[in-house]
Order: sequence, then C-alpha cells, then structure tokens
Amino acid sequence: MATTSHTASRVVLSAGNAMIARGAMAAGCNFFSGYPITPASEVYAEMMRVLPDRGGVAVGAPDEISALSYAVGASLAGARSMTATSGPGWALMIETVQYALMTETPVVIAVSQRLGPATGGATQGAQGDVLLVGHATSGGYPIPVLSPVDARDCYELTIEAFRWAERLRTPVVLLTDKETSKTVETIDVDTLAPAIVEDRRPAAADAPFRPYGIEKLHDVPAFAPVGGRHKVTTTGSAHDEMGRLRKNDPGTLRQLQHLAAKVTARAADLERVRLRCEPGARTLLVGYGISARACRQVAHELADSEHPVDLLEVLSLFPVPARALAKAAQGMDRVVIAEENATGLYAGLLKPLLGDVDVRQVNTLGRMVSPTDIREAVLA
Amino acid sequence: MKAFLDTSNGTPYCKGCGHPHVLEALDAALQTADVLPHRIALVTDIGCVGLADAQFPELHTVHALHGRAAALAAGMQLAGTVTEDGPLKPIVLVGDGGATIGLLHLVHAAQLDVDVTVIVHNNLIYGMTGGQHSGFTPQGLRTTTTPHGVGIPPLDLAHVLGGAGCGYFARTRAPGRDLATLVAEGIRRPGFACIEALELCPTFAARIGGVTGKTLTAMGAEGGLAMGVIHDRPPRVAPTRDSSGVAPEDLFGKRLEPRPAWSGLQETVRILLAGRAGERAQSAAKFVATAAATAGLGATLRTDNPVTQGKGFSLAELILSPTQVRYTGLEQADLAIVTAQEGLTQLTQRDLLEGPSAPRRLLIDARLDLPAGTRCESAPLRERFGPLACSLGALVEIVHQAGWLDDRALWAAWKQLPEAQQPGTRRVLEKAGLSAPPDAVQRSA
Repeated sequence: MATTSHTASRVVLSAGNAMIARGAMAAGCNFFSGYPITPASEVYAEMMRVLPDRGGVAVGAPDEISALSYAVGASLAGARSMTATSGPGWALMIETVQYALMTETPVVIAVSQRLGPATGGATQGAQGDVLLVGHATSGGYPIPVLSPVDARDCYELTIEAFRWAERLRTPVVLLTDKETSKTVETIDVDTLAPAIVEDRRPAAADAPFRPYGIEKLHDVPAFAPVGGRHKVTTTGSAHDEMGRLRKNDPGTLRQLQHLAAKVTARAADLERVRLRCEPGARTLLVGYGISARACRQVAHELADSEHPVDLLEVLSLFPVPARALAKAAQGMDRVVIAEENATGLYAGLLKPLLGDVDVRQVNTLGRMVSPTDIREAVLA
Repeated sequence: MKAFLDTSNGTPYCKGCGHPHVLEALDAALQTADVLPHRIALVTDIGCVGLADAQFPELHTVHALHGRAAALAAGMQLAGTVTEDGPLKPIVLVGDGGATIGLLHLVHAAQLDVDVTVIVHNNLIYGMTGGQHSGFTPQGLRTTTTPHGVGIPPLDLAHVLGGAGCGYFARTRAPGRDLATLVAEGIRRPGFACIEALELCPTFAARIGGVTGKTLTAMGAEGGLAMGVIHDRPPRVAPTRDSSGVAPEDLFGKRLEPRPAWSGLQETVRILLAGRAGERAQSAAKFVATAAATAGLGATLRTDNPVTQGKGFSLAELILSPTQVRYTGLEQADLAIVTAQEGLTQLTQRDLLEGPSAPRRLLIDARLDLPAGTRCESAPLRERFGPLACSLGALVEIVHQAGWLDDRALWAAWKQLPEAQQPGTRRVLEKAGLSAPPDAVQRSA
C-alpha cells in the first residue's frame, strides 16, 4: 500500500475488543470458543466472523465452562487457543483455568471487567476483578496477567499473552475493562509492534517421552499433542512426571512446586510497564487499565508545573512487577495508586512493596477515575 | 488382535462392579475399530470411572474435571482441522454423576454432532463419594442422600439427547452381550454417539438401595427406559459458510490515510451526544470520529446505553484532539447536544447539566424543556433533520462551521458508509452546510 507524501502513518478506528481479536490472529491463534457476555462479546463476534477465513476454528459454546473446556481440549491437541469473557463468566471458568494450569496447557483468556459482584452492571465499567483473576488458583499458583491501557495495548499484549502461554505452557489472562475494551479510538497501525509468534517447545521425536519431565524445577516440560506419536498421559489431579495420578510422593509434590517455579523464576522477564519520567518529580502515579489514562492526562498537565509527576503504567499485573515498581518509586515522596474499585484492590498488593513512602489511593465505584480525582491526591 | 486393556495387575474396581465389563467391551470394540491407536484419546471423567486411564497403557489418556470430559473431548476433536495430526477420535468414559453435572456438554456435543463417542457408566449413584443419588437414580431408590427413596423421576438420556439431534444412542446392560457391538458401532460412526450402560455398584447401590441385576432389567421393562439402539440418524453435514470478506493477510481491513490539512482543530474538544436509543446518536459520533481519523486527529468514542440497547437513553462521548487522546472520559463537555427527552433525563440524573460538569455549550432540541436557570441554546433539531438524523445533522453542522473538520474529511467519512446509507446521509450532510461531495473524494475512495 502506498502512503501519502504528507504522512507516514495509517490509522484505523477500532475498539479494544476488535484489537484483541486481531492481536490473537496475529499471534497465530487458530481456535476460539466463546459465549456472549457484555463487555467482551465483540471479541467472540469478531473471531466467529474472521477466524474461519484464516483457516482457524471458531465455535460458540453453551456456557463459559464449555467455552474454556473447548479451548483447553483444542490446546491439548496442539491448537493455539483462546476464549473471552467478563467477571461472571470468569467465575464459572475458574475450575477449568486451574485444570489448564495443572495440566500445563497453554490458553489465553481475555477478561473484560464490568461492575460486580454477581451480575453487577453489565454496561458499567469497573476494575473489581483484579484479585479474582490474580488469585484464582487453590494454593496461590501464579497465572500471568497482562492488562492493556488502550486499544493499541489490546493488540500488542494479546500477542504477548500468547507468547507467554506457549512458552510457559500456562493459562494467561488478558485483563481489560469495559472502558478499554469497548471505547473506540484511532490507532496508527503502522507503528504497532510486529507480531512475534512463539511455539511451545516440542518433545523430541526419537527420545522417550515424559509428559511432565523436567530437570530443573523451573523448566517447562516439552509438549506432545494428544493424537501424536508420543503417548500422552494427563490429568487435573496431582501427578508425577509421567502424568500418572499420584498422592503425596516426593515426585508429585515436586511437580506442584514446579508449577509455581516456572512462573516466578521468570518474574523479571514477565514485567511489563511503561514509565514516564519528569525532571524534578517527587510523586509517582501508578495506574493500570482505564485508570492509567486519567493518570496520563494528569502527568501531561503537570509536566511543566511546580508539581511534575512520574507515571508508571502497569501492563503486567501478575506476577506483580516488584522490580519496576521499586525502581520507579525510588526517591519519591508520594505514590498515588488509581483504580476503579472501592477499596484499592491492587494497591493493597503494592503497598507492602513501597516501604514508608506516603501512599495515596484513588478509588472510584461506578465511574471512571477522573483526572480531577488524581490531581487532588497529588496536590493534597 | 492386540488387546488395549491391561488387567495384568488387576483392576481397582470392587467385586461385582459393572465398570470392568464396560472396559472389556470397549477393548473388544477397539480391536475391531478401523482407527490407529495413537489417534484415539481416552477422556475420562471424575469418579471410579476415571481410574480406567491406567488400564489402557497404550492409548492417550486425558483425565478431566468432573463432568467436563465430553467438553474437553469435543474441543480436541473440533481442533482437528488446525492441528498437525488431524482429527482425533475421542472416547469419553463418564459416570451417571458426570453425566448429571455435565449434561449440557453432552447435549451440545450431540447438537454439534462432533465425532466423539461417549460411554455413560450408569450405576445409578455416585460411587466414589459414598453412594449419593444422581440425576439418573430411579424413583424410589434409597441412597445415602435419599433415605426414604428418590422422590423425582430419573433423567432419560435418550430423550434428552434425542431432542438435541443425537445421531446415535444405544442403551444396554453391563455385562451385556450386545455392549461391545454397540460401542463398536458408536466408534465406527463419524459423528456423535452415546452408549449408556446400566450397571451395578455393589458397594452402594446394592448394599443401601438393594439394587440387583433384576432391578436393572426392571428399569428397562417396567421403568420405561427403552433398550437397544434408540437413535440412529445419518451424520449431519456442516453447513457451508459465507466468507467474511476479510483478506487473511490484512487484519485491519480498510485503513485511513490521515490528511492533517483537513482539520483546523487546535485544541482537544469534548463532545457529548444525548438522545434516544435507536435514533443513531452513537452512529453520528462514529461518523465524525471516522472523519476525524481521516483528518489525522486523535479520536475516542465512549458510549453508554441501557442493557436492552434498543430502548431508553443513548449517550456518546466523542473526544477529538490534535494529538492522541489521553483520557477517554468526559469530566466537562465543551459541547453537549441533546436530541431527546431520554437523553436529557439521563444527563439531569447524572448531574451533568449543572455545577462543574455543566457543558460549556449546550444545544437542545426546541421541543425539550430544561430546568429553569440552565443556560442553553435551543433549536428545532428534530424538525429540521428528522429523528434519525438530528444527532448527525446537528453535530456535523457544528464541527464543520467551527472548522474542526472540513468538507473533505466529512465526505471521506461518508464514503466509508455502506452504499445503502450514502444517499440519505448525503442529504443530511448537505442540509448541515456541506457542499456537494467532490469528485476527487469519490474517486480516491
């Protein structure tokens, strides 16, 4: 395509949900199963519309448990699979998420938050599911959670989510919110990061296969699909390295420890943040998802004022990016953490990492965090 | 023929349990099946039936969550067109408990006619958890959880799945002479098949409920459960689908080439449209956002409406900016256009007409009454443009007159519309002050 002489860029007008679907396809996703739910339904519709033309499979499921089960089953057979939902659907998926974790099956789940609890407010935004997503597993086993701030991020972080799902053989959540996933915006598509597609490591064809065989605790076992030449044994029950259901023998307990170790050992690599620094800043704004955009506005407004601020946009919520946070907070007098839930769910995780710096929370319920809210917390 | 079932170390099942008989029948069926062993996936559910994995050491085995075996198997099979090794032949082993909690997965697999063979081991109770009643327990049977007998009728899976278009359904007893043949037929067929085996749990159904082989026979004869092959329909052919029209190599479809000369906007402008659902306030905002994108502006569009979408209010928050928009919300509108009472009521309820959120400029339809004291302009928007075009007409007139977007940008957005919408929209745009669409724009688009 030719570009015009006066500009090098081309734009599309797109909502975050459509960018999630495009990111998934750019990442090589070839299996999608979905169930309708506001505000994530457009991901489902877009995948049903486009994925089959690209040689993929898209299927409507009769509930969210089926939707994720189809995606996990497909991945066990070797497909690169995904589903999308919101808080109520995520609640139904949690058991199957743990199955994917336990069986080390790559799958990406996009979760667009709306007001809860229960049915909550289908068309109202919120960031109330952050702990329900980040702490979804019995035993506290970590699941990587990425969180886009804008529609560009929706595309780029979906690709990133697939990379980590495949590389670590784990479920990965792309946690967004009604405002980020449904708001339409202009995106310069020529400046999007090129998609890097990563595959799970295949088992050697000619060597004996141990379905969960690892040397070091944090190793990721090589993958063989159900239906291939290696005999696969897998189970959501506690198992040894051969995938055999076992109780508390040392090999089985080691497999459980491995599930945590393979993620935590890569915590530094998993950190994704955007840090914007201003000379002389003594306050750090911390935001994720839609709330980071109110932070952006304030950071911009105060850049040339007496109170310039730094801004940390957290793109990887779990594992908590402790290193990036510590680095950004260094030398700050105050840290302002903004999120659209009543009590500061994520702030509760960050506070213990911030030492004795003055932490101010900005929380809203039923409406977006506004620049005014943040300005008050900065200047108070 | 090579046996798949390995009982050299015995089985984990109680003396008198029906499960080993089903596994023997499955083994016999597999020996006659025309499918490579590594293309079979044995997907087992939770319960005693799940212990069958270890008895088939040569086959792929996937031990699922309780009730989800059929869904997992369906996913594996559906992925067959995109995986290296092609379609699998999943065989699901599930109990009556798993069929109860996972009933919808069986129903949907039957609807899809996905190539999965399900063997329901119906021993009338939950065995592994201690003999509780399931959805399949016969009426009157005493169980751990129904000391006076089950008070409701059991599910007839043949009826349930028959209503879902099930291609093949057979019911028999285990042990039973025809079991292996029925399972073999299920595996042979290219679509969904379900074989229900009525069997004994000696530890709970027999001990607590007094179930015997005669009870199982009576379930068929007196209990009203049909036996043998109940459904036998030809496999369905998947309907062909229309192409989406999206070329595989271009994920982004039509892109706009921004022409900054088409906009005179110097500062960010925040616009609020408030109208009635179905009267295209959000479409009007989308139209102007598209025009803004063609003019190289940053634009965001945030919408809100009741969950029913077709009734009540409709709000659109449109932000246009010479740079990318940082914050997508609207603390205070620079311009608000209200075209219907539903929109006005919504803004009043949200306190958006007075105080710090009051719009800098408020334009309302002449038929609407504002609370006394509210500063606004009033114009016959509905009368002039009609109910379906009043938001678009009013918005375009203002952005055009202000020089935020010129004719070229707005006509470029017009060319993006589906052809059927173009004539009507052209009349609105011309009424709003645009000159006729330039030929150059028509040609280049």
